Amino acid sequence: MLKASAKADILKQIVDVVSTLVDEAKFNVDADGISLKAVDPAHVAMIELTLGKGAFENYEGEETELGIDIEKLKEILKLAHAGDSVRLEHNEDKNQLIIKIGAVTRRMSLVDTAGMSDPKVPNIELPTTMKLKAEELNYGIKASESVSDHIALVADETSFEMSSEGDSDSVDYKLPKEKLLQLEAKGKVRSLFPLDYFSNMAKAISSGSEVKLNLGNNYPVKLEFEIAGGNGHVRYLLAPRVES
Amino acid sequence: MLYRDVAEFYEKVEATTKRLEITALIVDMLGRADCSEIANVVHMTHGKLFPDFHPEKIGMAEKMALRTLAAVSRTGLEKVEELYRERGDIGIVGEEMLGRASGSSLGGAELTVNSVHATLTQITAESGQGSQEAKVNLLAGLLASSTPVEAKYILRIVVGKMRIGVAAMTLVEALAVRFASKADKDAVERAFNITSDLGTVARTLCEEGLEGLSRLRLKVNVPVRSMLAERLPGIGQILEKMGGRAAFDYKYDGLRMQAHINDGEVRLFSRQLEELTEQFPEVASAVASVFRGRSGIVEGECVPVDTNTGELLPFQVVSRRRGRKHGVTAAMEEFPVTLFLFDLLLYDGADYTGIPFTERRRKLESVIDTGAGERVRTSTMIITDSEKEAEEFFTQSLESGCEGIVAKSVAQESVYQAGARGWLWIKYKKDYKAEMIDTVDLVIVGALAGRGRRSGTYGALLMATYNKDRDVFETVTKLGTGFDDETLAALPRMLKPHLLGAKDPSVESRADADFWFRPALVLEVLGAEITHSPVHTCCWNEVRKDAGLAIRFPRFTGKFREDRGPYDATTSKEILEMYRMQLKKSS
Repeated sequence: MLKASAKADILKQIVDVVSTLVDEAKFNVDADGISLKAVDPAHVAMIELTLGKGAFENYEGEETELGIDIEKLKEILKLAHAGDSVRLEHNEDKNQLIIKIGAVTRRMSLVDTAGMSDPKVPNIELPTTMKLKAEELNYGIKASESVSDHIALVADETSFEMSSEGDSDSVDYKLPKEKLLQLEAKGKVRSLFPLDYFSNMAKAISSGSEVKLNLGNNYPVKLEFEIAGGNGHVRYLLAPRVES
Repeated sequence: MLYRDVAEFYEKVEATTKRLEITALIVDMLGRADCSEIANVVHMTHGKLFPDFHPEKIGMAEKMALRTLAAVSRTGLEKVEELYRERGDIGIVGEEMLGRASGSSLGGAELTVNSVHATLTQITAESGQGSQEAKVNLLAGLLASSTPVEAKYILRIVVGKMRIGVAAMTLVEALAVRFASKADKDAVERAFNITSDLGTVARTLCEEGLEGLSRLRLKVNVPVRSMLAERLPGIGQILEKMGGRAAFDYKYDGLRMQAHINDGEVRLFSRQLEELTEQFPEVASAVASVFRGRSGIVEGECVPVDTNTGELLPFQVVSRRRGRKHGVTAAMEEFPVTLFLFDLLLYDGADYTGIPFTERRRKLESVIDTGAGERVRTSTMIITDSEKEAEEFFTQSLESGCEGIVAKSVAQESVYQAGARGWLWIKYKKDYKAEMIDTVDLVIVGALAGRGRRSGTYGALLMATYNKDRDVFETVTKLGTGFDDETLAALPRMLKPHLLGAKDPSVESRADADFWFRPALVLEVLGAEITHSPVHTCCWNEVRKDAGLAIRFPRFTGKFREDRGPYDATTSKEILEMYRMQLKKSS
């Protein structure tokens, strides 16, 4: 059961971070809020999202699963203006999500969740932790985009560096420790990632947000940030491109 | 053991055709596995997850595997399918696609033999609503963390086409060498034949050594590999080979079946060790009611019977019931069957396979209550030293609708040789009477376009035998006669699902064809004689340098061997034996 309403921009934010990886997703609803775990079809990246009831203007939920076509929801939310309230209600009999935006009532049929099991979140320890502004991350990505399809993330005790190497060109964007909000490292680590994934993930983070980034050596990268004014939390995991 | 290491061995095995080298490589590979993983290594090297009789199959169609591959390699499905049509091997397609786009893992962990086996088992276990999605998802996760070479072999296992040229007997020999010596091969083979499970054999050898094998016993509900018969072209020769006196059994034209009885519960298995209980519930319950004893294994041939006349019907009638999951009740009424029992392997815990045939037969007759119904009988059999009497018995068998007779040695050493084809049993079929050797079951691997009246269909089919030792299909004849117009017109449609863009890599052919097919459909073929051939690859270089064997004047008998898969086709070795027999006969 779900009956809730929230500001349109919060829902848009959720749709943005999820649609980066999947077209359809299973949302788990309970009394405390909504959560989701999903892996992209290529199994390169994963998202974990939790949204507490505090993110909503009002919220009533009982344990259930909602299979949602994210692209469809994205289109529907375009009907809302910033600041509009959006009302969500699950019609269990018809397996529909009823979305009310002002005078619009949109009935969206849900997707079958039988084949969507929650992916197992791998238990990985990443030695290097840092915090930085979303803008810094996106700046480094922008610098790499014209050079290669991959981006290397490198960190040691003194700095964090994003670099790319193409056939003839190369680029480095180096952030010394002072430019970061936080940096904890023991020794140098380096991993290479597909730029398209990394870029889409970083773009889904609202500007002004702080991003926590965990890095290892030829290991997945973890990006964590808050949404919905601190009432929601997103964790992305991206697999490295292992250089042979 | 890392799956990457296993895959590296497979690469080396694929790169050679030398038997000795392959065996040595497998021995080496087995040496790297510990006892907790060796069963999985053995099954997966054989392209399987479980022993043959295990009812669970991965159940993933090629189409699904290609879809998964498209998702993981972030490529369009059309492109992946196109590449598949070009290459004809999903493993190679996977290797190429992933070579472009992956080598990464979310979990960060490397794949081990046991983790790959566990995920593939999970894929197998998914069933019901949403299971296809779940299967795709699990496989995608596995492929995403695979190296391209690992993906090659994982995909081949998923679609059931491992084909690295490692036959069961190669594994048997390698296990013997690894854990004992080459001379102990027979002991390992025997353990395999009674357990039908190379994984169990491997684990037992690893944990307990050769002595452990002697503790492996025939067990109820673990099917035994069937004993097979040699062939000879005349009853006189058969009697001579048998020492002047033999038992002769009707050779029923049906489905070989093992019945396993355990406290009134009966399970049925085919010669391919598949469970048939669901398709023949009336046979199972009939066996339960006629069997006097607590537990046992009995073997026989399941034959359809005309309810009106009591006559035996052709085998195709029963083959229609195989693989059937629905409408079993209707089929039971339409095609009632009788199980004719001819052997007993296990009775109340006592293993009878080491006991002479005549005693086994006596025991069988004493534990089957033949008066208790029509569905289960014992086979018709005589024991004689008279060639004339045997000839009459043969004629009588044909009149009753049988294929011929099987002679069985009545000597003391006439034990049940599970899984072996030997001279203790010799079959004699009606086709020997004609000039032709015997009918053979050949696989369609290619076709020539038809012209004139046959345009739109095929002019001839390129037929192959299965070379079990090398795990390849070898062409043996071009088949163009014996088809009625209706069958001829239906062929393109029947073969369409197996159509390839190029020759299947498991087919060895020097002949060219307009169409190539994945080896799948098996036809029964009658030929006039076997000759040397510069074109056909069956038994290449075996009889003469730069020549193979071919069947001349082949004719389709009209029988689609739906009960046989491509690997059950007549083997190249059998053709060689027939060829030698034919030489003997004419000289």
